[in-house]
Amino acid sequence: MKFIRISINEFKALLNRACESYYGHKYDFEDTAAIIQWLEIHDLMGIINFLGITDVNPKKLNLTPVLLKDNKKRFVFDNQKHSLMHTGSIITDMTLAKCHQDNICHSNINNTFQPIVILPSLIKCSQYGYYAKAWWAEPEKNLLYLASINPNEMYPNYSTIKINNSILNNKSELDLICSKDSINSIESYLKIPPLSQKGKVTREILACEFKQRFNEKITSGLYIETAQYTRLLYIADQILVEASEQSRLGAGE
Amino acid sequence: MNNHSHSLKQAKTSLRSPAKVMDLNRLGSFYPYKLSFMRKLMRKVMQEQWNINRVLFNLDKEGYGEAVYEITTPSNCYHFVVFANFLDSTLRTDRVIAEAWDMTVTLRHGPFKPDELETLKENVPRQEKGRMSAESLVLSRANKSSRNFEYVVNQLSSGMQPCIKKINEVGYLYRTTAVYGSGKFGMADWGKIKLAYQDFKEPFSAEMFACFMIRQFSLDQADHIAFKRAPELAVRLDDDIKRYFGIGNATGLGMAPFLIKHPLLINSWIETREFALAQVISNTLPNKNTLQALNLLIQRAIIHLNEITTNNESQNKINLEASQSLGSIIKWLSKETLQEWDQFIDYVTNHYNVEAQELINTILIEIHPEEVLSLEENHDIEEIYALSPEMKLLDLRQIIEKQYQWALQYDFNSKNANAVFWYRSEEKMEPRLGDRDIDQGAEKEILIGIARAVEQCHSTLNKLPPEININNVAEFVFAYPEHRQIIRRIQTMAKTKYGEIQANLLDKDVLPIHLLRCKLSFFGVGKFDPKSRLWVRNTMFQGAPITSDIGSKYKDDWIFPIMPNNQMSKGNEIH
Repeated sequence: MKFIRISINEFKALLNRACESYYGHKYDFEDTAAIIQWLEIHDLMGIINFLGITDVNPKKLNLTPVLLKDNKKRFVFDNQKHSLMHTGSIITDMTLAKCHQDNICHSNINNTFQPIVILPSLIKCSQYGYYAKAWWAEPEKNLLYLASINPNEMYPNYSTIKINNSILNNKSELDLICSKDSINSIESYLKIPPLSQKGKVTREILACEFKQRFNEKITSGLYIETAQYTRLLYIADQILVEASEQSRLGAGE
Repeated sequence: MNNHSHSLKQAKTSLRSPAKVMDLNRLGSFYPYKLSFMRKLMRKVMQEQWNINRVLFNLDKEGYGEAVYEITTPSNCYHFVVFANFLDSTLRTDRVIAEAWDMTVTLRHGPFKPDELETLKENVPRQEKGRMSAESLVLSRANKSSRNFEYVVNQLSSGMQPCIKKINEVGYLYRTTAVYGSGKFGMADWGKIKLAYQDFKEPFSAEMFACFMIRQFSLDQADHIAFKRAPELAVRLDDDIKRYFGIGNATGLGMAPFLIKHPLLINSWIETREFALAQVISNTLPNKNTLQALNLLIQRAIIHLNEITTNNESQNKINLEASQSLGSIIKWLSKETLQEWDQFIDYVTNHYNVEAQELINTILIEIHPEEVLSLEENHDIEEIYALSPEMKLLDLRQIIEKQYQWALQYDFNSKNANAVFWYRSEEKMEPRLGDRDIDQGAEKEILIGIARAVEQCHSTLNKLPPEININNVAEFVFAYPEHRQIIRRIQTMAKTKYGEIQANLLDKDVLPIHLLRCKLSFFGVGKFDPKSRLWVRNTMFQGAPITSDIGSKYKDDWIFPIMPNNQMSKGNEIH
């Protein structure tokens, strides 16, 4: 497998162009690019997730989620079978605004995929001085994913836990809680016994490890598989305009 | 807001209004000043006495080959690598789309390792098509001035110094056509530079230093070729003349989107300049010494303006008017007894155009280093444009109507207000300006029309159907995600004073050259020579020290460079 090494700034510029090309100006493409960048820098497959979306939906679609319930301290969204990549931010915006008003907000996001993209959104909650937690499951693999962050922190803690499938029944696809006060345990929301006794942590990334991953990339750049880089470049290049003698006049020639 | 705000509360004079300062015409009248990046860099280099040594100078008799300079600072070591190549004159162009250059260079961290030269040789001359390591800070290239270079070498190899008047027509031996940093082509990220290479922690200081070194090489190369041509007869270029040589630069539209996409950074630059001015006006009074310094610097500025050579009629007119205005101001000063600087500023504002006003502001800042130099380290800004989702729509609307009132004055339904679009060409992603009626690619335009985006957002806010119950920004962007990006910007910039250039950049008659000059002035660039409304030639480091000056006493006084009174060059005029 061949890799190309690029800097973070270079990567950011490439993603901005790719997202502008794919999403157009109808969406906050810079924000989506920043989410992909965060995931990739922290070794959480940002590029693969983005390219996965472009594979599924090669054309630009109406990507707005539907708000199913809007109660005190609670939202329920239907993400219309779209990735959370391009809707996670506006859902987090809604959650943050309700938390600001009601001191806490619990959002359920159904009918979605790629829930891991919620991780950078947790940092936004933290920067507001709020506590935040998110969790989702992969029932077919008996896995529960948990992420949490305290106020004013740079990184969340993120873990994957092996769990009994029966306790995951009826669970919405992604839960996001944002609160001004510390949040109850995820087990209490899931109504299950404490996971430390029943569950088994299969993967854990602590905040300090996220920071370490960032520092590594700042120092040395990112190594991206050449095939993925080429695909990103192809998408990004769609925003470039064909050159002509006439267009050269537009540069002052 | 940056950290000037607290001190300002104690100042008698407030900062000028954004409506005044951020007017495009005024921004296009800014001059390099005491805190411009080149000035700051030179103070650092001279005060810290950086050691700059040529460790390789492998040039043939025509000046082609490689050169390496090693730079030792108090805390670190770098090397600057030059590849000088033959370039057919038909291929010599200022355009970014060029494929070959007279000189290509890179600035890298660490001591020079000869075994890395081959890898560099494979990549540096290819510029955008090469790849650089994470230890590289800058990649750049430059072309010879066809008017000056051969003339200077001929003079030196004939045992004569070049004529100053002839040099003044251009002012440099080489002209850079692109200077890349901040992670381009695999180089060190800005985040890394700030942390690991603190000598260059100020924005663009690594890029400026590379330009300084290009200038140094251009002088060394000219001396070298002259000696190779006539070892017995040749003379070295006189140091006074060397100092008068700057390094040329050609800047096009590529710089313009930067100013729009980094409003927090621009706010910081401009707020620092405005604060320096406010502090001088507020904290000092005219006295014998400062009035004398003012007078001398105005006189030097007049000479400087009169010496600028450009074929651009409009620029010539600007320079002439500015010079005449300064002449009148000197006369007025000789008759008046100034009690306060405000009195002077009021007079200039009421009687002269923005060019003269900004010249005087620049001079006032220059003659008060004690008020200004403490502001030197304030340019690093973390650029985060976060949404405040809880903000009430009423508050958002008020912010727009108060702080973006300038953006609501345009009628974007009129053809002229939305006549042009900015886009990236497939040729090296070069930013270009298109006419909507003529050019292809409007559907791929860059989001540079801030006024239009604000107006569209405001219009949507005003037209919200009453049956839709939207109270806050989160609910608004949930329903209208197309406005999220501009709202993030509006909310962020509402906490600042400057940053938004108050102009419609989609207007039929937009003058991007004002944007270029504004940014270049903060770099420290002078002698603007516009080639069209879209690109400008200019001169960097003219009058600045040369490397052999490092270690001598530094007089930080090379603003408005003028021709040296060099006896050795007299009588060498071209007739």
